[in-house]
Amino acid sequence: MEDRIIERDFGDLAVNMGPQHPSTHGVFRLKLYLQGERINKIESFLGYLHRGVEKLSEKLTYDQLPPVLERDDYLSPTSNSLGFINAVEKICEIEVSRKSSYIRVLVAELQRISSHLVALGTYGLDLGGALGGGASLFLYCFREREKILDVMEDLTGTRFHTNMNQIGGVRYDVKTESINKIKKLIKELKPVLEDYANMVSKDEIFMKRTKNIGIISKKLAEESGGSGPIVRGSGINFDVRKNKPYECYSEFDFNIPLGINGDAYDRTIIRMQENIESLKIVEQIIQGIPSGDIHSRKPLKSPKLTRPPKGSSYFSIESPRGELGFFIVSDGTAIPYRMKIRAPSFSNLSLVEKLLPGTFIADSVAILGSLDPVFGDVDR
Amino acid sequence: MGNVNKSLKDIGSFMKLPGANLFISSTKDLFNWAQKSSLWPLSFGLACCAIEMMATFSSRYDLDRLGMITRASPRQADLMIVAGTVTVKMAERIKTLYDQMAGPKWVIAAGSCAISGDHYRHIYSVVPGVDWVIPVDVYVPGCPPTPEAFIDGILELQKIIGKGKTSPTYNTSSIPEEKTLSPLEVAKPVKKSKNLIESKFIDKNEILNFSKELKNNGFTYLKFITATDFDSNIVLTYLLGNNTRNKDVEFNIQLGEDLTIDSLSDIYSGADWQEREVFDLFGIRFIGHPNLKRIMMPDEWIGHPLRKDYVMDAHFYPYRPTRKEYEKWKTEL
Amino acid sequence: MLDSFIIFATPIFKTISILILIVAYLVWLERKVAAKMQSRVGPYNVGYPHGWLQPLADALKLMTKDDAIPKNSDSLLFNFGPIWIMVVSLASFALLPFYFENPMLNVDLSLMLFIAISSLIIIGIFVAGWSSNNKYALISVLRMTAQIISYEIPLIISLLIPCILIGSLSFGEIIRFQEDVWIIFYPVLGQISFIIFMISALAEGNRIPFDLSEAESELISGYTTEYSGINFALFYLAEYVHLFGICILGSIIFFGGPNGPIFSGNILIVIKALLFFTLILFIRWSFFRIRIDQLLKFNWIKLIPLSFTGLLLACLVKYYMDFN
Repeated sequence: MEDRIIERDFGDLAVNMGPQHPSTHGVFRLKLYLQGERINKIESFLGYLHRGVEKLSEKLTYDQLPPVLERDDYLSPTSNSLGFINAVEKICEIEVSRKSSYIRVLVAELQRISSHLVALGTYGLDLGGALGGGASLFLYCFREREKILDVMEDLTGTRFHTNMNQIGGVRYDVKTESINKIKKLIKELKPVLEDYANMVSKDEIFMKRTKNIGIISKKLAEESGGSGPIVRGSGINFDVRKNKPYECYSEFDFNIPLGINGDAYDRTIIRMQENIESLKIVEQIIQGIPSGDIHSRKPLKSPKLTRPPKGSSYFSIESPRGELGFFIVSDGTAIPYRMKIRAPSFSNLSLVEKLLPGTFIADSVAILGSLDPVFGDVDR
Repeated sequence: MGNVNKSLKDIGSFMKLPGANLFISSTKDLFNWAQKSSLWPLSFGLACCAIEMMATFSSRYDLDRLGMITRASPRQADLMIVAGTVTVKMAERIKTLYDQMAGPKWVIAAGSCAISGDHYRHIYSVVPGVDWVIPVDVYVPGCPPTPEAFIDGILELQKIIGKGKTSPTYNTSSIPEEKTLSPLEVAKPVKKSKNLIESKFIDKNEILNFSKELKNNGFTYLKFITATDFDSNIVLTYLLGNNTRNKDVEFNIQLGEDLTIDSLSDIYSGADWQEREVFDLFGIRFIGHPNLKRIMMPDEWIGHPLRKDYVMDAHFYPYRPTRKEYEKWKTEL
Repeated sequence: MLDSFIIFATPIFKTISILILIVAYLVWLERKVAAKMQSRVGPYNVGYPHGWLQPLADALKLMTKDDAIPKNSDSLLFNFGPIWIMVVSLASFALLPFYFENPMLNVDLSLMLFIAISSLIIIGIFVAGWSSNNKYALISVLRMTAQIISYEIPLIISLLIPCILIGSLSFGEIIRFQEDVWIIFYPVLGQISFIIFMISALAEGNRIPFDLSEAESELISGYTTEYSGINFALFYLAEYVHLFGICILGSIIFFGGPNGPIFSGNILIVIKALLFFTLILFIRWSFFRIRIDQLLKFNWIKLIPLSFTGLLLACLVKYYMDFN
């Protein structure tokens, strides 16, 4: 009787990180095929938040659209409406006054800081757990964000879906008390943001979890269509605010931080350095708000509907996630014929299929967090 | 109320003794107080309202004061706060999660997207309100509701639990008997206009050579691929960028009767998901694509939503439990 | 016969009731300390002020939840897991001089017996994760088994270093030796062995930075994913009972037990254990979590050689002390 040991290979273990998951940053489904702790293959499923905004925009007028579009990328709402309004103003050739341009940039930069704070806080939740050190980082970041939201409430009336931008100008003016509050905010935020940057970048366990994880090579970053802090982490110097300046960004003095390796550590450090640069821009705005009108559309009491001439155009701005663009086809009426949103998170998220195979499960969470997807933007 | 109700029924004979009513009612009050003081919500956020919910758990409007800790596993959670828009694809998962929650459970619908669908209510892929799928106890209005409104909703729920409510509210006004498919409504004909795009047009067969030439010249950044539905044909638009020279190139292709074209996914790796989206929403097939499946809509969806003759109202009803299933929940809870 | 049963059972009953009360309030203490570190107020409204009725509300609520058992699992094993963990954690308290002057089981090898009993917990955890019939639970217990078995070695060796210096393994001898000076103030060996003990205690008790088995961001809830109601409450409390046992062990061996600078008494064991527990809480709410392969590499490449070196040093010191 010979004893035979029959060894069977059961194949990969398929684990579902389903749409409801504490750390997929929203509704995203990933199916991981595991061998031990290593991921061999993944399948990704999107579309759990598809709200058909592009179809809805074929029924609403140009003036009704900015508040609807603000719900797209819900961490920095005014960048969406800023991009759309600039695209319409480009077709219609409307000139916006310098004062309203300053106010638009002020709100956009404050929301950039708040969006990067949320990204850092939820990254802490991913790495450390909701019952642990990550929760402390999360709560500290949200505490600072509350100060920014207080200023937004003072300027516009609501905390984050502010309907501040209108075609031709802004809706509300900046009062003198608001300027004092913003000065106080800058004084409070500056040391705190540098403190958090130091605290996280020198933490041993953070470095162990994020260095050399999820490296995006320069070639992949160029070809994948990604943009924003993700490709700047690999060393590509492309920022819409510097390469194709819009609004009044060319009047301000700020730097674009670049990374070297392209791993998750670099991407997080770049976001924190961008916070400090945005605070510099806010300081320069406050020192010199020009006087003037905030609307350029007349008559103000009963404005006419915006009717752009026939044609198509594309305009893009820099949102905290990358290049957010609007492609509008207009047929001369007050309702767009076709509006396409070029979503940065959609192209950035497609890198997931190339970065995840070959890593551990714990790394997959770290990589997904450093790509910073917002699913309102991915699925529109 | 799960086990407590069953065991309370067993001591029905005990109730007949004088004074026993006081014992039972005090115990019930004690358990209701315990349930309302230690509500554990399931960490479940869909869209913008989830960010305000996270802000409610943060240091300024602390919800841990009221005894709430978020738990990740549905078996250990009592409360499901649905915050954000519910889509057709997500509705089945919400129902599965609700079924997996144990014991006495409650639902708060926070934000106007979860209450009624908000301004998305007539869109093909949105469920107009989460109470089509699961029974809801408290509605918190707002877009998004401020943290004070969230806390108000939770205090309202605590009042309801304190009065002893542990079975869900049934929205029984219009539940269908069987699962139904709505007939495709006949819509008014939509006027499609003639071609409005004025930038460069190339021929359909030259696309591969043209894009290879552009890539060799430095245009490696594919910004988007999209399509527009004009009256005799669909026009595809491609936009490519060059990072070093700050230039963009936009070119278009007219597709006639035959809606197929070569895929760019060998040349640009970012073209993968962009082409899947155009296939999903317009119906154009890309030859040579590695994995041409729907990306935004569920796999068994019929029709291509962004074409002009597709009606905006829902094509078929999302998952909605029938009257029999609701009755089953009532008796088995 | 009834007399002997009462004499046998009364100390057990007293210890278990005091212990469960202390452990329930350890949960409250954790939430309060965490809240203070994160600049918010912890449980406040339930039992105004300061939420001292919160553990009672949690326990009563967990009693009213449904008991859900997965369809394809063995219900005997499913219910066995939490019960085993709770019984073993409580049983290890029979060896500690915690409530009475002398422990209930006073043997010569009490330290070794304590470690042996508390390392039986892994059986209950493994059975719980396996019988849940859930992939997340499976991955979590695989990680946890590797982690606990690996960190048993530095735990035992770091506890052996003071025992070699003292010359005995029983708690009575250890306490008598520390009447002049506590082990932690011993020149080099005291500090090294305390640090190794601290790291291994965190890994054994499944606390951050080593809590990958309940890694909530990756694996939902780890091995407790399918448990609800009283089973879950048993898991929750048993973790704190086990951790409290390790804290008391640390306070007896390293911090002198009932010997204090001003007065001596058994109450000091509990106070020192609570201070040690607070240190563990501070670590929990400040650090991130490390990955499983980094954890195991750290153990086998750095921690075990260090602990063996310490053991060798302790043997040499004892030899020269006895020789002179």
